[in-house]
Amino acid sequence: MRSVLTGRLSGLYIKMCCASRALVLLMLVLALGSCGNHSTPSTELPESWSWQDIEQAAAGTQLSMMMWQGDPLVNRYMVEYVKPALKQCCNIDLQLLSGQGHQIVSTLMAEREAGLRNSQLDVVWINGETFFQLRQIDALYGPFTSRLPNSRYINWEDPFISRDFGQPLDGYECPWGNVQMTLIYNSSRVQQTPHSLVQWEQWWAANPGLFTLGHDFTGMTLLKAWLMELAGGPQELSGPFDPKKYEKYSAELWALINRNKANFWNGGRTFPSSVAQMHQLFAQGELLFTMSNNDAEVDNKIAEGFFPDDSRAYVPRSGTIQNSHYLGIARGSVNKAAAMVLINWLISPEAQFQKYQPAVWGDGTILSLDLLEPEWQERFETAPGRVYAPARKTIQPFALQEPDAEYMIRLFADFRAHVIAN
Amino acid sequence: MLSRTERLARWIYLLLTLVPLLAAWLYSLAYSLGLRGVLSSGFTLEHWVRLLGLSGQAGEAWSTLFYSLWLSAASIGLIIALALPLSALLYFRPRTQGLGLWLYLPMTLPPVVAAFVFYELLSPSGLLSRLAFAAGLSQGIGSFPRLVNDPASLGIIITQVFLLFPFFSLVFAQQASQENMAALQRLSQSLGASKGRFFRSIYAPLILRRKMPLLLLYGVLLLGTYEIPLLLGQNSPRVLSVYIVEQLSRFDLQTIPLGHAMAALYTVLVLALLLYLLSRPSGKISES
Repeated sequence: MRSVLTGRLSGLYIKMCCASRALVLLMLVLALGSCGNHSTPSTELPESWSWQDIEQAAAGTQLSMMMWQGDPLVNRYMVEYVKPALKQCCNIDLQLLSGQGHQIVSTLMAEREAGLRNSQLDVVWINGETFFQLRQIDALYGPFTSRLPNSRYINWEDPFISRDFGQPLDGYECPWGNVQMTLIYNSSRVQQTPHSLVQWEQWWAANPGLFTLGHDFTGMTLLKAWLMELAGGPQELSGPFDPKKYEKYSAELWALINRNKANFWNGGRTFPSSVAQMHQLFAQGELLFTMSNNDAEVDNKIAEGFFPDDSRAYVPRSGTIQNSHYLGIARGSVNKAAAMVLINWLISPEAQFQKYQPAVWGDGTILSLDLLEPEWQERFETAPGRVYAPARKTIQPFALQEPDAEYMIRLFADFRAHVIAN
Repeated sequence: MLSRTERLARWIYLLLTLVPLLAAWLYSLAYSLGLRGVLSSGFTLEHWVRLLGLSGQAGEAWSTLFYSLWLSAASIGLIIALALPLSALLYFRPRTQGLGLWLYLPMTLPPVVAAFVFYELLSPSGLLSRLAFAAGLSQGIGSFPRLVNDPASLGIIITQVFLLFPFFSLVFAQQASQENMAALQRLSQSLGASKGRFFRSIYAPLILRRKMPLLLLYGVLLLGTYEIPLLLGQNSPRVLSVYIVEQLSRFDLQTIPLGHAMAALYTVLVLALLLYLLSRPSGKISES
């Protein structure tokens, strides 16, 4: 037996030796290939170029944009409105690629690790932790936002726009939309919506198995709001990450969740891995609450026939996180001119107004109405409102600013360690 | 003696299979040792210590490994328990062979589709729960037993068994035919053995001995399964593939080397198992 194994291993060793020669050959081919790539510099935009020069360079080119494609309304807006409009106005062919957060980071990180200077991506739809990660690996191009003519409509002093997860934008990403987290509930079965953690504890005890939160971006966004409530308000967690404060308040948060999780869905033994799963459980009646980072989503989902008609959205008086989502340009983009033209067009009043309408997308605008021409001010102010979600003006007083990105990173890891694995 | 063309074909095959695997493994190993990666700061054993220690994240890695092994073993055990008697039925009762055609049906389902089907079937708001409620057997969603995302991983095991036991039933029946089990049964009965005794003492051991390498290979395959445990499993413990993907795609980029360390370790374990199988004189894969 041993001799048979030894014989086979010896044979395998000889084959591996021969294979190693082939491997060396392959590596040589790969090295030559990558050398070829190195020799082609990615296009940079000269500082001296005017906007007209940029538009001229962008005309007649192709552009790729990686974005989350998990919502039919968002997809329809991009495919049926943005693509044709961009072709018509600027003669740019836009190609949409599916991917979000970590896929964008993985793609750009792998390109950097392989030493590629030219990226397969031009524009990326990002926010929060993805921006933090892409800045960490220096994968974003910038600063570029000040060169966009339509950036004059944005109030760059607005704290909900000028900082992304506590990080200054520094011109490396351009705001595209602004949303506030809402909790969506079944109004036929939930008479009194909880507005504080004390009320939540009472509700969970009275309604076991009908609430949970996802172990994902949306779930962590709710946890951040709860962490702020435990800290006595958002001011306590504003500024750079403070490990001492985090340890103190997160310990209270895990204690609160652990003493109540037996009353969560599935006895708190497992948590949905995505907001899509939360929505599914809500639509099927297993949950009485779901949540969304888009305050208009309840209208969208009822219009699609996915949520029951008695679904409603609200913001607890303790507040929820309001944040913006952004557009960035990959550092290795080979078509930065077209990328800037696209982004400039997406923040134009017409493109912003189109997606502002609940029937189209319902995404909050990042344009400051005060800075718009009167005609556009009026159009935004008289746009058809939401039916099932609260008006933006009524939830604005309960908007909380994103804390430093490190809070999100630590909450995500510690939720697994202290709650899921507990 | 292999011809020149056959030798060339063999080398091309090795080049296409072994070299990418080796290159990927070396990359993962280098990443886990801090030798690759945009954020790496040089050689370190920190990630391996975190992975192989016994507390914190390391404890989680071990539980992931043992959970995956357990799920794989439980699924293969149930597949054997179902496929052996069914294969005997297919072989000894030719009239039931029409059933064989139906057995091909589950094999056409991709794992992710099967996972969705069983989720919709077994979840508390699923079809079975609704039927139970309509029949007065359940009081509603809350009282229906949890069969998906459950602590015993029943949903995962049921789905994996559903996908694979038909295949093994057909393979076992074919093996029974090759072994001429009918003649062996007649012989054993002439010596006084009952049908049950024949099944336990001759049919099952012989088929299992012949097909053990194939069963073990499928056990290895189930170790790396992703979609089914992702949808039907719990958050903790997780299977190897879900654990690795999570480490590679978390908000914290510092966990990426840990994912690569686990991937490198997993590859070594699988290759060691395959080498063991190849080294068994009576269990050559080619016999399967």
